[in-house]
Amino acid sequence: MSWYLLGVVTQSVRGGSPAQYPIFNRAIECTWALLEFFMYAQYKSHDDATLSYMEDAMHRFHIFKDVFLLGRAGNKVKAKAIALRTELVKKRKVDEEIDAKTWMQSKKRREMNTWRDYISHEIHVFKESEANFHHPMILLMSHSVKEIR
Amino acid sequence: MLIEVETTPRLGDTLVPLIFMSDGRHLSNFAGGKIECPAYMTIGNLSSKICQMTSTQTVVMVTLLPIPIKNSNIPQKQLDEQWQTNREVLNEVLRQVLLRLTIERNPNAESGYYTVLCADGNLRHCKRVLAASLADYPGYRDLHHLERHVCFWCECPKNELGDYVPSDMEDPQRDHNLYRMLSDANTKAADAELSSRHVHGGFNVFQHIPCIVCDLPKPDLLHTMQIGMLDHLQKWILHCMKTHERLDKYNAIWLSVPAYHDLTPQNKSSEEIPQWNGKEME
Repeated sequence: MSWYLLGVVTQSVRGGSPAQYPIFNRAIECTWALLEFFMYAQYKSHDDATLSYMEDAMHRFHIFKDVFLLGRAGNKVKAKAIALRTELVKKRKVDEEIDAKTWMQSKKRREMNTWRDYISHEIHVFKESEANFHHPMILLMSHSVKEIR
Repeated sequence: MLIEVETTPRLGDTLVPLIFMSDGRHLSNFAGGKIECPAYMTIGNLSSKICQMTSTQTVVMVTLLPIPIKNSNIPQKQLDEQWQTNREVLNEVLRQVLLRLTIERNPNAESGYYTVLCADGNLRHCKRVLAASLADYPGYRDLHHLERHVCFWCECPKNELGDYVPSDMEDPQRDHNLYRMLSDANTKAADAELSSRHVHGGFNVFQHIPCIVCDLPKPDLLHTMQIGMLDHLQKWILHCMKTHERLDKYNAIWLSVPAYHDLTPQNKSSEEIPQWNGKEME
């Protein structure tokens, strides 16, 4: 799987919008760095050069890993995000009850779309702020280089 | 109280480095996922050619580690007590296994030595030392008496586990001698100190072995990379593709990868595969 994963990712993200270019490029770089580390780690013997390549790959992984931050949102973060969404929807309903009677249908639709975008944005920001890469495996990768040395 | 044995070899002695390995083995899905957790032992003096021959039986099973029962829907306090009992049972089993190897009650000059008739016909005066252990992350965590989600090599804070650490700025190594002293002190201050280092109190057999315990774990490609980080990477990529509406394209390309040498074509999309094994991750 590791032999063709980078190729699959690179082909999958071709032809995105200009706003997506930096995200996709970072995703490719991060995948590349981790797979490169894995390929070097499989060497039967190491010297200073291969170990420095491993450290370089590890460094690049850490530079670009933020692109996958939302994928690190675990069940606790998701549960909190659902609670936040419920709270925001309740707030929207209260506003709707107060103002909806005076709104025209088109105004109501616009307001609803604005609310939906606002809630999605808030959930996105919340997940990004709560998710993290605090996982022992990532640190163990760093230690592997030292242990091999 | 157990007393440490001097491990410095004398002239003419042969060191026999013992390597222990353990991993969970899935037996059956029926009746709630039955697993067993055997612990194996081998020695480091063997050439890799001999090691890899199954007929030479270079790896022997020494014990089956206890499998704790699965507790669900019970109060947290009861759960903590059960985990404490599980740790004590595991440590007692390990103590029984390792007692004959590295820990002596009344050490003398011949402690830990034995004479062996080797394959070349010579008798050798051998000294056994615990050299390495291989296990997955939960295995190390339980063996070293650590809390969840902490590093077993260093005392890195939990909220810095995913940060990049240059090789010259690493956190201090875990000092199991200090943990033993704190555990033996059995005071509130000592318990607080242990807790701040994310170590469980109580008896831990590894704290009584004359070796640097945090040097025992060795880099493990299978658990750290193949079914560890690469599995996570796969999930992150799927999430990213889903967020940017590229999942269908990703799956189509994934399924279209042709067979080539050892590369077998995939007949399932990556999200349909519940679990990868190390060979598939290569």
